[in-house]
Amino acid sequence: MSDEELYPWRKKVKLLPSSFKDPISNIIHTGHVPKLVGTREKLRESLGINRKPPTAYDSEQAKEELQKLVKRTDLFAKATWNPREDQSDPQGE
Amino acid sequence: MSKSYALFLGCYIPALQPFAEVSLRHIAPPLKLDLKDMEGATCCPVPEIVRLADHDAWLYVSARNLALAESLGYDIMAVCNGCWETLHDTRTALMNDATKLKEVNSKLKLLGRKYAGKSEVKHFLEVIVEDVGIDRLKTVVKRRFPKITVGVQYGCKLFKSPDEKLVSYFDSIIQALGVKVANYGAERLCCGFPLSLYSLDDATEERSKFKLEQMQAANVDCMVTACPGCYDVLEKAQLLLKRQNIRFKIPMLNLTELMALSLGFSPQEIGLDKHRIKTDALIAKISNGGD
Repeated sequence: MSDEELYPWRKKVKLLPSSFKDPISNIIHTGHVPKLVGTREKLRESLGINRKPPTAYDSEQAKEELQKLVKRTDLFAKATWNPREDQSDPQGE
Repeated sequence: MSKSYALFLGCYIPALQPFAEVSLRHIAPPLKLDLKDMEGATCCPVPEIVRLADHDAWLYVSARNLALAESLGYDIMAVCNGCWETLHDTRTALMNDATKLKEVNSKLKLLGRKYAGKSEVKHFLEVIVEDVGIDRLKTVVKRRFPKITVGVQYGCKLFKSPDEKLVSYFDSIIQALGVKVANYGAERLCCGFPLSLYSLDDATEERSKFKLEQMQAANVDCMVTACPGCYDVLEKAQLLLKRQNIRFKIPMLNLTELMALSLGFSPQEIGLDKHRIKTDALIAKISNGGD
């Protein structure tokens, strides 16, 4: 069954909480939610592992691939949504 | 003979809780686990945000991670409840919907990638119980800590597994390690992680604080979890409450850290002394004969 059939009374989310913008933006630009800042890299190094983990944190190709994928969705728009510019109903009705 | 897996680290462990990664890499050889790094893996992506914000984006990014593992030729081992849920649910959705699989693969083709469903998704708990085996785990345990009391934080997503098998797997592993488990009464309560993405204050007041109070009342020496999300919010809640002069001091441990200690690694080798919630008392107890 589709989500519409399973949840006929579910409201469509038009406006995401503003607290979601930064995590979404981080995912799009770094591939991950938390930023890998210097202190975190140093902590990794002090534990005897590479400063950058072997993930998108250390791969430009991975970031480019992720951006190629999400450009074909609405995620970009949701990451750049500005509540001050959006005059539509804040309750999403 | 070693069993090989594509290691999916996720976001929180490598960036915020590298102790879990270090301890996992330490315990892999004695457990005969061969972990292959998934270079270029991204956020799974986090279901509480991305799945809600845009289902297609969630599906495409998750499928890319699955395709990455498949290109390496291994099943995925997820060490985070959230990552396991996303990757597992994506694989299930794609294997049960040929139209959706075709759509996703048309996107992956733009990256020169493809997912055929050959790589399965396993939680770390499944790997330990089903592939390594509890009997093997018991043979490599060098120290048991019957004087150390742990509060177990399963995390909501483990209860979604069929027949809650991941919950019973967690119990089996803890039992094999020989620590004392506190019955604090709020084991099934959500830690508040999803709510914390909206408001940490609300999550703390509505969920985390009560859980911490129950654990404190049960005199736990530490909390153990297999979920970096739970680890993160329960740690942050304690730091937030400390500013209000409400002090808990319950160290957070990922299950891999407890396993590393049991397999004979020292607290310093796994960075237990570098946690944000002070672990001095716990380390002292370990050093002075927690066993």
